[in-house]
Amino acid sequence: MNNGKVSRRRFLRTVGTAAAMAALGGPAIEALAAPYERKLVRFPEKGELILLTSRPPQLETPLPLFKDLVTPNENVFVRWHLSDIPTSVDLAAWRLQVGGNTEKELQLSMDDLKKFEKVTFTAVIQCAGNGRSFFAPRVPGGQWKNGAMANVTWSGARLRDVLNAAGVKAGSVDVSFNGLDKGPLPTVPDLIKSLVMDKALEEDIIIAYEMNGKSLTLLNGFPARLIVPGWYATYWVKSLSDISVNTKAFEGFWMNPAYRIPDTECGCIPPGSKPGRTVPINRMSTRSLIIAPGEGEKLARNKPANIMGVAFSGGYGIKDVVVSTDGGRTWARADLGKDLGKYSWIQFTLPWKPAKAGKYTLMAKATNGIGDSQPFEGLWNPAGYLWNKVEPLSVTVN
Amino acid sequence: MKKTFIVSIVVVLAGIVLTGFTGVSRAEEQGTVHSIQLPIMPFDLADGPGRNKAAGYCAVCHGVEYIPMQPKLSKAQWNATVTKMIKAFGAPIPQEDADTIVSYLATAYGTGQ
Ligand code: HEC
Repeated sequence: MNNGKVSRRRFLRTVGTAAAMAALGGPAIEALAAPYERKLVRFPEKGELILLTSRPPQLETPLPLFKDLVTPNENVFVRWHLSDIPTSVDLAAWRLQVGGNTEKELQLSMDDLKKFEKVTFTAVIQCAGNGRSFFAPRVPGGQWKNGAMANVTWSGARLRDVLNAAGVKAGSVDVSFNGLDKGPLPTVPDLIKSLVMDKALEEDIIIAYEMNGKSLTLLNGFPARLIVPGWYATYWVKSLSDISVNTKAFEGFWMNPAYRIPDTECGCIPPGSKPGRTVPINRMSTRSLIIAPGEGEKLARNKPANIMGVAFSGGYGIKDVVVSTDGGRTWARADLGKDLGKYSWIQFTLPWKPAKAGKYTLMAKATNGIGDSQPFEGLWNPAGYLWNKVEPLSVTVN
Repeated sequence: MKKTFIVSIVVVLAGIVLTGFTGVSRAEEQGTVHSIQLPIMPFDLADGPGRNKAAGYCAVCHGVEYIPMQPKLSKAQWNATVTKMIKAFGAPIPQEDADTIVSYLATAYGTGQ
């Protein structure tokens, strides 16, 4: 490419930017730097989060923010699939349609939804692709590190109560959920997710209209989103608008071929290979993560440097967390913090006072309530799901 | 090439206007209406033959930062990704342009294989 062309392009870009600014009343447009970097940005109703993509927004939470037992709304990660996302919702007009194979068609306003019994619990929300960037070999998709997760107290109406109000008729096989987001072109499949009937009728699935006692932020699914505690967030449809009870299994792009894992016990296959049978991704794997000290941190000899982190599972609680300060040779049981229930993460702490200078490799390994734990080698699947490796973290003691 | 680029700017701007992306990041509550304004964050793709085609076509549905976000992919992986955009999502890209874009991506954002 010669310089003339480059400068013409720059010129056109400037013209384009200026036109955009004029059209929109002169707002500041922030350019992303090339090469791509994980910089901190602020989006509406959000604190400083790490930018993955801006259109649609995908924002990751920096690890130090997980020191909170419950993640404040502004720190909760953001993940949209389709760029036509709802940026304005009028509650006077918004209705949640419930229909399909039901006795009645419901059109619930927010006030109607709030008339159902209000259920509150704390649950980890985690993107199916959290940790994808650690896969070896690497796989395409959102390149999350470990920040596509949060621990939030959700309140809302039971899905079961809403379905019962509509009256599920015999012969129903599953329930599908659609939100206000749309594909930018009509050819892009709408993000619709489904749950088989038995799952949909479980007691703990709610239509949440509050996160941490406040209304949802728009980027996290205002005015209401589905909460399927223990399962990956791909099912937690945001800005919910339609619930449909189906007599024929729902089969949309986002159920098949997207969001599927190999039908093997670990959901994994040999790195780089192709899966045979697949199933929809579902329950979260057991995980733990050291939050403090941070990777590469320098610590002082003979000074307390408590090792602190969070651990959670797919709805089975956490039985114990063990921590190693010598790269996995020896392990000590960590103290577990306040228990907010089986869907919440739990904080763990191991008091530590390194006596000798040198490099240390820290590790944490959690076991859930039914005995499932974490692998020492990263499990692999082609879409980059279920990451839960025991991750080594290096610190230096001087 | 110039024409493609202007078209792409228009497409991007149309996308921005239609999807409510604007320059400042703010939230607003007016009566029963809850609104936000999303910031615009345009991304510059690396130079190279085919860049303008990628910048145009690949910005129709999402920001082009989806490209540099990826790890270095092989030409086969980039080909699979572009094919997915066309087959699964209906990206309106003629085969000839798709080939140019795959070559560009494999060179500028790939393993070179
Ligand atoms: C017709 C709309 C459309 C066009 C045009 C389009 N994409 Fe996409 N692209 C999507 C959608 C939808 C996703 C999936 C988003 C998700 O899962 O969050 C996506 C995701 C991606 C991803 C993430 C990896 C993956 O497979 O999900 C990459 C990389 C990507 N696109 C690259 C491109 C490139 C390169 C082009 C231009 C050749 C392009 N896209 C054009 C719709 C489009």
